[in-house]
Amino acid sequence: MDIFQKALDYAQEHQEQFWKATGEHLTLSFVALAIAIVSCVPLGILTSRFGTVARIVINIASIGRVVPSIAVLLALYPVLGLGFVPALIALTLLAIPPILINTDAGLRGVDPATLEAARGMGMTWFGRLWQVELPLALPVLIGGIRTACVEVIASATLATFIGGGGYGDFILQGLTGNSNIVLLVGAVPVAVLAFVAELALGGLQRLVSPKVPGTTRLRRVVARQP
Amino acid sequence: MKRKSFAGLGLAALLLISVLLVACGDPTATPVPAATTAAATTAATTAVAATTAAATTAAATTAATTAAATTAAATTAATTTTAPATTASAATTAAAAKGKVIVASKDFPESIIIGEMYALALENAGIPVERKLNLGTTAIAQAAITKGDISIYPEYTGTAAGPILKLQNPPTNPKALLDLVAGEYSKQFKLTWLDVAPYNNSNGIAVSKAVADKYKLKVLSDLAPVAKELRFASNPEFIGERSKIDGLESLQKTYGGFVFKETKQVDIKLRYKAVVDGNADACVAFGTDGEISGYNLVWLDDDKFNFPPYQTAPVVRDDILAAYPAIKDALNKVSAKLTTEKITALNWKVSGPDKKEPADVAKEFMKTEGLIK
Repeated sequence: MDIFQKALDYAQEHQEQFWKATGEHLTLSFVALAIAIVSCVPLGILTSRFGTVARIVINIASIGRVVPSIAVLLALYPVLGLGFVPALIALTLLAIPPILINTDAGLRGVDPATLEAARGMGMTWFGRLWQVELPLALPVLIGGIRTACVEVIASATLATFIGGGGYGDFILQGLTGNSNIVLLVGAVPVAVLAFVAELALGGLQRLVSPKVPGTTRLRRVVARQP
Repeated sequence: MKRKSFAGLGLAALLLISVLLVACGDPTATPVPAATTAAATTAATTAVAATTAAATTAAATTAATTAAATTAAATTAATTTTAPATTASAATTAAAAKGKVIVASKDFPESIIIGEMYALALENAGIPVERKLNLGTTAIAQAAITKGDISIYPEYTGTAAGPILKLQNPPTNPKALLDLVAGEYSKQFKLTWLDVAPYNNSNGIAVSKAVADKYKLKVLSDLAPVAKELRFASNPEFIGERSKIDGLESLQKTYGGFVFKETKQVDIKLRYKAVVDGNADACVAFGTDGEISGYNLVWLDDDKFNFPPYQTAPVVRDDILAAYPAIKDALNKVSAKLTTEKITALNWKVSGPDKKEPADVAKEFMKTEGLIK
């Protein structure tokens, strides 16, 4: 455990650098996630309505999932240069597929009988979406955000390759300088951040799951996913 | 839901465990994170070291299993090797005596070029060679050679003093540094330093022509006071743990000043591009980088001798050298030919607009210098 003490000492000696990296890492992660949510939830609503569009859009998004973030970063470098923006774009691309796919799947998973009942009650298109479909799809949708969030926090470590900053700075310093101490100064906060995000969004997911008598809350919704 | 949240927790726990494992052992001792976790993307960068180490181990095992077949071929090809191989086998490990000599290099052009030169020189001397060029960072090369996964690779005296031996006050006299490093290597790792090449690939700083003209910069002393107006692109090492000894903080101590307006850490291969593209005004430069003259940048001399010398030599495992004593002569001949001008030109052929393959550049050089036919 001695090495953790040393890592802590190193972080304290380099406080300015550490907090700068923390700020950069959090900003990168949350801005990328926010852009992905704002753009992909509406897109997911759209694809859940149109089968053909869904197939095309979701398959394209899935391609984004296959291309490694580091490749996106280095491919974007000649076009966008160094720094924050190209790193942000690469991370946003990474966050898109899980959010899009889960929004689509969540909405498709809503029981047709429930929708039929809503229509029968005279609810408008928007009313059905806002008051019935989205609340029912929310647990699955948040599941997508949860996946994306952990992936983005983890992958933001790659931003350092093109001067995007973040905890990756320490990780790369540790790797290239043959020092596990410095490496840990970057790696531990990333692991902790990812862990916290996973727990927090998992909790939120449980919180928004509809309560069904005789079952645990999410089971019914999950069971109905296509 | 229960199951799902457990999976989530388990995943997060795995990430923490893999980080712990990397923390507690040296990179080679932890193949676990690499094996267990595609999930460990969080520790992706940390896992790189472990994965590569695991990969090298796997490769080495295959090499060992096929050794029987290859030695047969090798002995027929080069009859001279059989005698030393058999005499040494008693004193050294079986792998070292019977296997091929595994020549490696780090993952940047100069190291790859020189590694290839070593390989060619050994082949020319009738020694069976296997190449593991472009292996990885200093840490990976060092772990591989101490473990026996590789036999030889080119290293710099300054790097040995720095990231490897972590000396706090490395001497700035080249000869003194070499003697110190070679002694420690022999004692700590059972590794031998052969002759160093005459060139010095020391750390320094390069600025764009425009900036040099504007502030009238010639040496690092000129740059120290005006740094606060400039943006600086650095490789990770220069501002990392060793910053106090041969990086930015040491410059601040030696020269005063040197507090840049902005310091951007970038991948080592992108330093010069940052300056050329206008994303930075100054960058870390190494003495033999072809980019300095290639991109019309200005190299600022270390006029107060802040940085230790970085001279290159082959680092060889003691047991391999005992098995193949001819290695020494063959590689010393190569080192003797490597001057600053020559190696700078070779580097630029690879990293400049020619985009030549390091192997081709090395072969061409060896032929023109008359080291191989």
